[in-house]
Amino acid sequence: MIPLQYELLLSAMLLCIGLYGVLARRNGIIVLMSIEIILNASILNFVAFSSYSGDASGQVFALLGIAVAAAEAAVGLAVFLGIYQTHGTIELDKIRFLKW
Amino acid sequence: MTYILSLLILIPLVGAVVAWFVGTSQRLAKLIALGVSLIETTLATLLLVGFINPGWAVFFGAPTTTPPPTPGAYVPLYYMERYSGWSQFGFNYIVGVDGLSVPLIWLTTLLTTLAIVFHWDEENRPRAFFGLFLFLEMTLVGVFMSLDLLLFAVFWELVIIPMFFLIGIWGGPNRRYAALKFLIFTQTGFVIMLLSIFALYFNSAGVNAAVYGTNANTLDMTAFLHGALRHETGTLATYLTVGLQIPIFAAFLVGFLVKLPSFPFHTWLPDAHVEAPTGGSVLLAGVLLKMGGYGIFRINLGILPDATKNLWWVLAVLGTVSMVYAAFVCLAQVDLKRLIAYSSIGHMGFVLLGASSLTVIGVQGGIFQLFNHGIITAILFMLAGSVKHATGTRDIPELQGLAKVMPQFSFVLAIGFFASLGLPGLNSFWSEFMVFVGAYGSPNLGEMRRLIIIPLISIVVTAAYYVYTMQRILFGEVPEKLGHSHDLLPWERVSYVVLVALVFLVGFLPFLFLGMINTYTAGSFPWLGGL
Amino acid sequence: MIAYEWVVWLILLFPLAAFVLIGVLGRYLPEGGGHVAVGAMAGSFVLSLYVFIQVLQQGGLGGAFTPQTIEGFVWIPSLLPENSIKISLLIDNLSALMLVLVSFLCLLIFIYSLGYMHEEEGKPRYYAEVSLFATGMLGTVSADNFLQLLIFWEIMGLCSYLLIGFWYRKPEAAAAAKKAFLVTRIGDVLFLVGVLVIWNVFATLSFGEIQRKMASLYPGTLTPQLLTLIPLLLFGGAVGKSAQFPLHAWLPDAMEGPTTVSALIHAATMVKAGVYLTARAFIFLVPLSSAVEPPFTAILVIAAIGGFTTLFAATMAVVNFDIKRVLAFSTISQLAYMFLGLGAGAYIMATDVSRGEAVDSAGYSAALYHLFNHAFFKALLFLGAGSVIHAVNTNDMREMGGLSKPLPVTSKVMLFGALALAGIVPFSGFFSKGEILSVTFDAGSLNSGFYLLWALGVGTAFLTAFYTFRLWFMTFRGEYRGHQHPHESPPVMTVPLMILAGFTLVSGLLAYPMQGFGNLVFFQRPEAAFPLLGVPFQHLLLEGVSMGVAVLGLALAWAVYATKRVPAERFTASRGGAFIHRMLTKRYWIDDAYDAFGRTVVYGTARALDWFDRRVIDGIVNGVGRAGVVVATGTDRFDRQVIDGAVNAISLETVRTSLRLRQRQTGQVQSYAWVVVLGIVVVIALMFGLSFLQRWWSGLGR
Repeated sequence: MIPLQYELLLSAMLLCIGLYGVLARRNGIIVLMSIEIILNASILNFVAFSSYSGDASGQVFALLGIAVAAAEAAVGLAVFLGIYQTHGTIELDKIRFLKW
Repeated sequence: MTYILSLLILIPLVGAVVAWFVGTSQRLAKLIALGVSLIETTLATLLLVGFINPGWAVFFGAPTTTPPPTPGAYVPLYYMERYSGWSQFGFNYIVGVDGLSVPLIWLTTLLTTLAIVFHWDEENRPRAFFGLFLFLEMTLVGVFMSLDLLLFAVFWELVIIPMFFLIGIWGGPNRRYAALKFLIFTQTGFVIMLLSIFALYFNSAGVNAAVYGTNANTLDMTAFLHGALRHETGTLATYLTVGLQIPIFAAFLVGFLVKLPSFPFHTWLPDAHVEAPTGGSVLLAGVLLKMGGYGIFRINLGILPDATKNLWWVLAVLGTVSMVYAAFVCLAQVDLKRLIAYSSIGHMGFVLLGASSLTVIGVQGGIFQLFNHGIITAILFMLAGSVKHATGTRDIPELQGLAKVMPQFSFVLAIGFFASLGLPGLNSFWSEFMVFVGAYGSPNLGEMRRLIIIPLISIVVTAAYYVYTMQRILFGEVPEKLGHSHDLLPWERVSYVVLVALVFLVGFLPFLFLGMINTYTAGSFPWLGGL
Repeated sequence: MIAYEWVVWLILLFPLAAFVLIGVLGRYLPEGGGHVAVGAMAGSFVLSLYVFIQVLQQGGLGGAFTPQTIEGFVWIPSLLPENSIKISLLIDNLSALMLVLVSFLCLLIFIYSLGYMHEEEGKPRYYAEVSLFATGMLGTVSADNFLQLLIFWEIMGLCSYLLIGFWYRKPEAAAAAKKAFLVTRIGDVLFLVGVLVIWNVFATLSFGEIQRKMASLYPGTLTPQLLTLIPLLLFGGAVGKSAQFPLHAWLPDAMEGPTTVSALIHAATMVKAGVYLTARAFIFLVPLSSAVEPPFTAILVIAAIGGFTTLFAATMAVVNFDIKRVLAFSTISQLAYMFLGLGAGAYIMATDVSRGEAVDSAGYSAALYHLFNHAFFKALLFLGAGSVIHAVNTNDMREMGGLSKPLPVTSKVMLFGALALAGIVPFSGFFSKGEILSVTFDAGSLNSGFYLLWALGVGTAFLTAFYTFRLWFMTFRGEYRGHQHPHESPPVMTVPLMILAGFTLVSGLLAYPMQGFGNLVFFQRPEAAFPLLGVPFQHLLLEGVSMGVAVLGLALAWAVYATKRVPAERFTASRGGAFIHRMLTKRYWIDDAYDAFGRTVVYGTARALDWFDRRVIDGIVNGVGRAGVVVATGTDRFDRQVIDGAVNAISLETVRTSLRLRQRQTGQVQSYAWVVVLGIVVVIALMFGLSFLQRWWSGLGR
């Protein structure tokens, strides 16, 4: 068996990489991809705990998570497509529609 | 006619409203005002006659000896109306008269009539003018009649309003300042008095219980009057304590001293008089000042006898200072009206001196002086008005030789001045003499009796300034610009004839008024010493 | 008791009615109402005579009439009837005599006025005022108590004021009237204080009652000091009214009035009121019972002032050139004689009382005798002077002279008057003046101060004769120095003069049938020493002395003014003489002193107090007013800036904060994400931190 800590560490590292991507990258697609990475990290976490405790509900939630991630990626991409078509850019610095 | 007192208050009020708002002509307003005031004067004369000789009081019933239940304690000539609809709030409508207030009420009505007559040619807003006079009459009569402290306070306050407007609108060049000064001074005094009224109210339960049997706080003056009287004759053990009476006395005194006026609260008077129209001055000096004196006798002496016995010396000192100080200041005056104003201050000093003497004859003299001075000062202020009207000036250095061009005026002036300085045979002699007899014979003075010489100095100085003024303005040659001055106008003559006749009448037969005053004094103040 | 006592009221009411009638209707009456005045006075005179005869009959010649009080209505009521003050009249010997004297003199002078005032304007005013005056004088002498005396006394003062200032267009007349009123007012105030003290001690003001109560109240309520004070205060009033030193300054100036006024008021009657008052004050000076110690100090003061004034005034008469002013000073001097007589007499009487001996009222009756005589001859002199002034249109004697030819009647009657005034036998003045001086000399044996006063009196007699005849010679002898055409006065003026002249001879002898003037005016004892009958040799000698000096004075006047043997300038040639002359002309600078006092002290005090009133007291009032305005403005500013400012500041800050806050909405998604992350971090930190803290805390507790 792989010790749980290694699993959790991997999850955490993936979370951080994803967080970095969300916070510091200008390109919207990269941000979406980073969000996917964060989601993957949490899914991995679920699986790890499920295998460690022998409880199958973790895996169920993992499957749920994968579905949510896929749906959210699709919606996000559709939004970004629409933004690119109306404003010609997907640089997050330049998208300030909710500014005061 | 058992409601004669309330009628005396109501009639001028109605008359004021009618004169002010009915019609647009000056003539109509004048006639209405004159008519109303004549009716009022007639009623007051009936009242007076009833008090001079109770057998003649046919129209409204003889004066009654009224409550309280215990017999034999307080029997002045006393006539009262009472409506107790609001007694749960602590105040009632109580009006009553006795030997102190009847002469003053009569004087008020008489002077109002004469003042209206004197202003027969008033052109400036006559409806309001005469309406205000009648309103003033109502408030003055109300003050003298009220026997409930709240009613008294209300009327006291109301007096200020018409007077303020009379001075402020129809007055001389500096009228705004004078009217405002009058208002603020009197109002301040009143507010201080109000403290006393409150104090009396909150301490009245015991007195009320002892006199009327109701153990509730009340503003009924008669309860206090009867209580004080019975306390002094020994039939009531506990009354307001001396420690309580003294501050109440002091606060009331301040209010009355402002009105009287007495040194040092007197400086509103010269300005108010110089600026007021003649009729306003007549009523101001003739009646408003008497409110202060009336208050002292009715409230300070009547309700607070123990405090009076302790604080009489305050009255004596202030009276003496007023007399001497005012006499000297008169001597230096240049404006005739201002001179007469200061002489009023001096004469009111007599009232204080009489009240302080704590003898029957002294107090009588003080009360009588109120009445006499009212008559005399009315003449004097009318004279000031006459001379201003005839010659255009009231400045003494500019007036000379008037005896030649204005003989009737000079005659009245001579009588007025001699009456004011207390010549025997004229009315003021009696009151001044009685005040001096009382003051000298006061049981409180021992060796200090010799100090009587100080107020007597004022007599010499008073004679000096009057005779000096007469010499300057009546005698000598007539200068050019006064050569065409007209003598008295017909309506002025009417006023003068009445007042001069009264001066002689009271001078010759003082007992007409002294009878009721004596009954009042001897009956209400059994604790006074002397004769 | 007098039958028909109501007639006494009529004596007073007639002239009062005349006053009212003339005052109202005078313009329409002939002679300005003069006839009405004369008629009223005639009525009063007849009634007074009736009363007087009754008094004499009932008292019996040489007997005593019981004083009778007639009461009228109440003036000041009181609960106790005996304490109320009523108007009431007293009839006794003295008052009856005075009523007759006053009404007679008024009658004569009014008749004279019909002629004298004939061409004047303002006649109704004159007759009304003199009628009122007559009422006042008659009321004064018939008063039963001191208050009533005071009342009528002051009414006379009023009339004196009005009549002195009768020609009011003249500034000097107006000023003289004012001066008269004010100076007498000072005396009146002293009188009033006396009344107050009397009331306080005796609880009554009636003469009779006071006399009766005196013994019982002494020496408890009525201390010896008060017994001295009361008559001195009353005498103070007399000093003012009778123009004695130091209140004498008004009388010479009072000559500005018409001469009839000077005769009536300032010679014959009003000024005598002071003497009358002092005579009434004898109830204090000479107490009835020997248990009461008489106030010798007061008596001495009265006598001393009398003695001093008599010489004092006579000296000033010597240098005056105004015929009326000489007579005015003479009046002051003669009145002083009366006071001297009263004082000396009182001293003797008081000593008799205190020794329990029979009272010898010689001085009392001598003084009143002189009052009686003086009234006649002084009125005569004044009216004669009036006649002269009427003829030559001037008062100045330097413009007269030689008038005995154009004015034969006047000059003869004035000679009578002069002889009486100088005190030459057999004229009345001799008897009364001599009697006073004798009494004074007698009093000297009791108190040697009286010898000095007697000497002053004798000196005055000399000066009196001198200035009197100086007056007569300057006016009637020699050559006429003026430019008018003098003529004699009409009979309406000369007849009263002659009647008066007759009296100067016989008024002295009137007392014969009654065995002495003392019987007419008795005080405590019917008889008094009668002149020249049964008089000790010493008295005859004294009377001879007084007459002798009078003759000397006459002779000197003759030498200087009639024959011009001794030029008048000799007296003023030397420096001392000139100084004395100036001092006398300036009336010892007393008038100037009074004027200066009035101007500087009195008026100065007035101005100072007026300044005080305006600046200080009113300044305080106005200052309080201004302070009120300052406070009000400050409060307003506080309200606007501080309180309202706070309110405004709150809203301002709110807006600014919101402005700053909304800048957080950047519109950038990533900033929002940052905030979320930060929040998560904080929450986790808190969770771990708190649980760590908790474990550490509980680890400590173990």
